[in-house]
Amino acid sequence: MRCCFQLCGVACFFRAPSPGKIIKERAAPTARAGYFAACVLRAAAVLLAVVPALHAEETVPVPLTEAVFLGEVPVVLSATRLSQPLSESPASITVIDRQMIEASGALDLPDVLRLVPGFQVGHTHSSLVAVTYHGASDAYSRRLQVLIDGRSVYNAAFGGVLWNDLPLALEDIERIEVIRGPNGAAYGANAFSAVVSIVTRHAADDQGTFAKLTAGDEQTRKGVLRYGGGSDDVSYRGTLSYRTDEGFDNLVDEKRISIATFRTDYRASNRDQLEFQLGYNGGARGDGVEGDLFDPARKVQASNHFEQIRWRRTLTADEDVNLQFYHNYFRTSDTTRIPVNAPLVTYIQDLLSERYDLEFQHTVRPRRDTRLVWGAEARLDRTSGEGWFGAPDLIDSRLYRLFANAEWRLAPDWLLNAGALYEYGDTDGGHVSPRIAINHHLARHHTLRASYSEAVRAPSLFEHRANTSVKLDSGFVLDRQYLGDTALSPERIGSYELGYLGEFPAHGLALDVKIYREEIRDVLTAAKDTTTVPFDPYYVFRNDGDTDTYGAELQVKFRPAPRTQFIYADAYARQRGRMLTDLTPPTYVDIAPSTPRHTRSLLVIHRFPEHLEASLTYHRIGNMAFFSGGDDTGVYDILNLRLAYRLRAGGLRGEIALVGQNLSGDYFDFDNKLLFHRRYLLNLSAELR
Amino acid sequence: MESRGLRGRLLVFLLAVLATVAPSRAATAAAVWIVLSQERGAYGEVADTVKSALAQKRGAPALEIMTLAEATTRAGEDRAGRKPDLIVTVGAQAARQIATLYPRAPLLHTLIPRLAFTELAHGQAAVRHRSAIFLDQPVDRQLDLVRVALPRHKRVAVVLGPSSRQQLGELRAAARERSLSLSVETISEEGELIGALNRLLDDSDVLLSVADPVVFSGATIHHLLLTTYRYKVPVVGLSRAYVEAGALIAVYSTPQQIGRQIAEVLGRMAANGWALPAPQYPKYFAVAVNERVAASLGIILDEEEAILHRLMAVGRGESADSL
Repeated sequence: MRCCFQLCGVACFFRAPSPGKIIKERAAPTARAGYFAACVLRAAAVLLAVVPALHAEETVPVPLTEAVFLGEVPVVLSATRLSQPLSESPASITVIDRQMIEASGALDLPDVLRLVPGFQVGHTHSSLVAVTYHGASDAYSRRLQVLIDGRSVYNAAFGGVLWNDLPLALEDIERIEVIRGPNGAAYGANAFSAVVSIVTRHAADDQGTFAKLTAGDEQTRKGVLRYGGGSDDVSYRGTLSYRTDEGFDNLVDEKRISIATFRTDYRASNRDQLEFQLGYNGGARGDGVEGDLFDPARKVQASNHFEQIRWRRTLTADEDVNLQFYHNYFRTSDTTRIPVNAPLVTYIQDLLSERYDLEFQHTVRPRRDTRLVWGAEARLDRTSGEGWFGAPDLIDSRLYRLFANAEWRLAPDWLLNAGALYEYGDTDGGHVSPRIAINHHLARHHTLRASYSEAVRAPSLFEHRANTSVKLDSGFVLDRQYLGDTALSPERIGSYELGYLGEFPAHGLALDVKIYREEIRDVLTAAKDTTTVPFDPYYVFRNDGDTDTYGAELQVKFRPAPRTQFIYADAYARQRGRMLTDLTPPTYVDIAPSTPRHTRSLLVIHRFPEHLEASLTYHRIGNMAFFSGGDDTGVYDILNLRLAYRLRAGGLRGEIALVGQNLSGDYFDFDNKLLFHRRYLLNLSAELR
Repeated sequence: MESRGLRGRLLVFLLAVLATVAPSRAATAAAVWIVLSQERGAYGEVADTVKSALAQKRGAPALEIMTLAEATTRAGEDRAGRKPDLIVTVGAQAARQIATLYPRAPLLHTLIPRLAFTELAHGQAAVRHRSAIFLDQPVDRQLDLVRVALPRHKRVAVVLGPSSRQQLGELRAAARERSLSLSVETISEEGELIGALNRLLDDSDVLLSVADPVVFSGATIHHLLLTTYRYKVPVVGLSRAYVEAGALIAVYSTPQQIGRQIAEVLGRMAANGWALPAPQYPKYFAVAVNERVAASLGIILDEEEAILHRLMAVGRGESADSL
């Protein structure tokens, strides 16, 4: 039902949550710090405003007057808040709502994304999870753009997303919208194969106290505590979450994840909304191999946080302006001395990467049949990692974007979408990502869509500037591993799609079918250079490879009765292509085995009349092998069941749920030594409003 | 026979009296004051409509339009002066103050919610010389709107507040009559609204607005519309402004429509010896639809005009199902 607009997040047409604006480009570090401090102060002021408001409540009865009927009412569901109906969106979209997340019984976000047609997940480590659309991935989710409330969490330093490091509590998520297909016209570089847009709940929706405890096999423990409060104009919410587990057998990958998030929504006036968020994710993650000289078992310390402020002014029902600023901070501390007692080698894998991003967006309806969103964005990425880039310096990269997307209703049953985004980065130069789509309503509830969309994946800083080696503390280089290349250009994708959306309300059925052809060119690849005497071979990066994929995807939502839902996804893909793996002689690897022909998932939710809810999640994934060491997974199945018993007494809601995971037997999704076993989890939760 | 003669004489006598009195009576036609809570906005529009509607009418009463402030001053100054035959108050504030200032005058309260009128009437001893044209739509009409515009939406949710909770019985009966199921949450302060919505919306198809300042205010409307939208539950609003703000649909009466009804009532009263009619709901109304919200919720609605015509037909007693 949605797609684009703010509330629902994703914007396939318009950018989802509000975007931002032009950064003061030259802002020196101190000035930025000052700006940031100002943001924090402002938010604190908002918070302080809450406190007196809470006490000042008076209960003088308000007389009923004609004002209720005659008064002005501020526009609440303005254009950017309203989601576009799916039938009018220029791309295929999958929506995962809160109910589906809960019913899936998933502890981690990637497991939820298995419900999206054509998505695969692979674990190289309990803390390193790859999520990919149409396979063809290594251990990082390099070709997905991931946004949380409009804030990009794609890490430009290593190029990908670390799902376990996101300062995001699963319990805060309102919905996840996945645009299946490139969406550079709305989001720019790295909105490559798909965009995952996560929308968290408005603070006013989480009033009261919520607590949840989970315990289960493999030493899995999780606790969540949330409190929300506020008054008419200000609401706030704070969530604490702590999670620990032992990870895979025989692997040093136990993890401790502490998450704290805070959000406040402030209605400054009838037209102005302010939203402020901050979050933290930190803790120790096990890494390395017991007894390995260069990769010893150790604890890697993660410490990530973000701050985000957004202002929206609603001018009319069809026009509003958004301004957003955010700061992401990502840090891993991982320094190893070898041997520990008398170090000869200090192996530094610390990484710090920060992002400052300012974005402006204006939504307007210049004519009755036309809607337009345009905006601009400026970004600074600042990275340092001596072990990654060969020197401890701070590396800054700046990026500027200008975008416009328009929607024309050519006739009541014809809708044309066209848009483009131009971006200029000081490392990658400028490029344009266009998109065009036309939707035709064949009849009420039946829509055809044809679209073409392009996007790029910018080389990560690592691909550009990697310089990793093992050297003695004296400076003598023992071994080189990766060497970046500043001449790399972005990887490009073009995607042709034909889609059909059908609704059969009388049968509670909704269908979404798409057939597509995707062409990826200038594939970014790490190739082994064997001419590197006296060193062992090491890896360099090249743009050398291409992929053509075609396939079909089906998404079905079937609600035969109000209490029963089936959500089914089926994807078929054929891939052809190659990429360079060795420089001399040039050797290519076939890409086809990295993508499963079939990926299926089914979620069934049934609510029994009184207190019980049962749900079943089933996935079947065809043969695939991830790049960089993935084994052929064979065809594997995942079966999860969840049974929940709910109680309600006045304002208190309680739930006890038993989750059984991997009930169809052991499987692996990346490395054949990392097996998932059958496990059981027990959840207890209580909410007091 | 004799009595007929007596009657005949009486008639002649009356005619004679009338012959002497009528000219002067005609010269001083019945005086009607229209007292506005505020000079501008909807209040002024009501007065203007009444004035222009009666301008062409023969035998129309002499209208005197004044603000509440003027009426208050006048009540202080000339207690001995001529009393109006009728005072039409426009707005709840004028209704309350005029009722206090002119406790004995016949009053027609307009642009006033029904509950505000009932409260006012209960506070006063003599209510026979008070009547009203309400601003709100009858519950029947609102539920008819649901049935006509959203025939698939059978589960109606309502949040009532301290003022509106007395309408519960009426709502229940009206819903039952239309085979709609009704879920109700009653709140006593604004802070309880979100919780009430969360309890209601899971199992509801549409939220019906019932005027209550605790449920609908500038402060609550924001949360109300956002929360219902998150549940994908459309809202039947109270006015066009609510529809523009994000409600799906509303049936409402404009100040002009209320003005037109006042003019008609005055015309009938003039012909009827200034006997007050019973309190009544708006006779004329309009329908507003938010197409963007409908599209976003995946709801297909007819045009405003078409819905209005069907709603009027249902109001005339034609079956909704046959339309």
